[in-house]
Amino acid sequence: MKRQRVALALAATLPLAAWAQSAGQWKDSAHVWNSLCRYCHETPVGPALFGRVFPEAAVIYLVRAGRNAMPAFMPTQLNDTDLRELARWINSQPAVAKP
Amino acid sequence: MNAAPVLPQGVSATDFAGAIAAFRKVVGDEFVITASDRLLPYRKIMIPADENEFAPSGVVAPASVEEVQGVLAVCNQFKVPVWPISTGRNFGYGSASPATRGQMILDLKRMNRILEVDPVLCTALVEPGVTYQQLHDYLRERDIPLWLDFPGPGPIVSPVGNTLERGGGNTPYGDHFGNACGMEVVLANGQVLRTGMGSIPNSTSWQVFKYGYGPYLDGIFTQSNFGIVTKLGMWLMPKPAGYTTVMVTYDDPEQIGVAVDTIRPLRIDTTIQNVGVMANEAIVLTGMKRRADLYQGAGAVPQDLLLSEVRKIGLGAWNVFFTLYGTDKQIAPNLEIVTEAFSKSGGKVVAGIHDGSQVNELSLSSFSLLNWVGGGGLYWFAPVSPARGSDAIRQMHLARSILADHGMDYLSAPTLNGRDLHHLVAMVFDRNDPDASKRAKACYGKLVTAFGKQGYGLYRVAIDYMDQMAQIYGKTNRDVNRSIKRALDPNGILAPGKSGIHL
Repeated sequence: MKRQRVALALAATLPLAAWAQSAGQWKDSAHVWNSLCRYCHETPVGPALFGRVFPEAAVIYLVRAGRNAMPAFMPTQLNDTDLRELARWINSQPAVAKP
Repeated sequence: MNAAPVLPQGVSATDFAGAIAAFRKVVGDEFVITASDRLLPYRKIMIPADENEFAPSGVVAPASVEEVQGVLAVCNQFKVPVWPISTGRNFGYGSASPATRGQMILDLKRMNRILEVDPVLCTALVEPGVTYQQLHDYLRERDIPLWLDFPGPGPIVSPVGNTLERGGGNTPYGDHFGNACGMEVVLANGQVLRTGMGSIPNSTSWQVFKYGYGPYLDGIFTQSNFGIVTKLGMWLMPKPAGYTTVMVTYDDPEQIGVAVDTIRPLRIDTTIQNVGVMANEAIVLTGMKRRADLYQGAGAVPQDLLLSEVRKIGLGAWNVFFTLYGTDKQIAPNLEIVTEAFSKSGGKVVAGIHDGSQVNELSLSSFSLLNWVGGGGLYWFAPVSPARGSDAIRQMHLARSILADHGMDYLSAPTLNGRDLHHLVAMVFDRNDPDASKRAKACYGKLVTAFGKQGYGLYRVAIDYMDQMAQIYGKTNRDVNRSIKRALDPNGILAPGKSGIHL
């Protein structure tokens, strides 16, 4: 984890460094949402999640195991900290109407 | 929850424990996974098979070429096989799962650097863990006017993984391997090969000229188990001055023949530059309807019902989508040519529609086809068809009839490659329903066999039918692959069973 934090700090200082999209390297939960989740959960493909409250453990289990058409996400893409923060972030979002 | 590990074939529990300890020394404890609850995401498959048949022994996730070399040294010492994945999104073909039970998944997601983008030569060099989303963001953040070509699940997929599976998209750069240039490959013995011009120290031309000197090797590292690709060069499409997407609809299913005979010359002479797609009545409905809203009876949805439904929304039995790119001056004459050709063939032409997959827009909208029946089951059946109307008609009838025999709908979206079609058929089913899964499994096998008998092979196949497909491609093909395998990987540590290639 220490090594990851150092890498992250270095990345932030480089003007041309892109945000990586692997475990522990996400900018924040909105970055995770916009890169992975919104394509289904802000469209008719998947269920809307905003405006609802889910137990953190349930979010983590569903993301890890996948469900029906939902892909499963590996710990190299999202680590447990990323997932806990994502669960909290989703729970804090107000409901929005889907297209 | 944590059961005993699935041991690799012929490896004792003691040796496996030794290998795991050695992997941990190479990549760190955090990046070796053996606990069954932590393996869950690697086990999820959409194909109708028991996950246990393909259960991995564990996961090892290196972060560098040196760590990949270290992992392979351990594999050779303990005879433990690894199944490399980039992001593991081989949906409908086996996802992240290995072709045989008891392999360590080599998860390359941590190798996620975009090493170079050259806006002048329109090239990129990326590692396996980079996703299309990451590369798309990189280009957009720097205002680099280059486009990407995405496969269906674009945002979450790796360009390296998709290219190595010889996947495709719908822009002029839709043949991903055709637009790859230069690989770095770690061989089973730990040697690092840079293909093409990359073999020259301090090469200036690795991403601009594919063939280098002597045999052109890149192809043997696709759909194979001969090496681990750790870097891939890509050619990217310059953002065009403009574009017009065109839809052509045909009312009668038999008009797939005339449609293909009209598309072929326009694709081959590059009036139509991009791969494009033709979608049948059922697959276009999946974006708007659920099967149960239309039909609750047994068997496949009657075609008349589908046709009647699709006509209500102004679509047809076949709906061809392609795009003309360039300036208005370039597009206008080409639009005139295609309009005349398709109108003459009996198609109805509508210009100016929107299809994000042809114009650099990331999406997972193709996942909506999984809502047709629900339950998350998916097989891609993907035979290659010559781009002749007669072949297209023959394949359509064969596929439709076998699918109907198994109570499955014909959801078809052939891609328009010029001289061939990849006749993509999405076999969707409720994976929670054992009967539906059983029918899908049997149907896929029947399709593979029946198409093979008529001289048609698949361009890519699911993990549970790799051996069967290798049989269809013949003994000499298998012998050559096995000879290469034995020469490059004498211990058989790389992805045993991939594409039916065994030691």
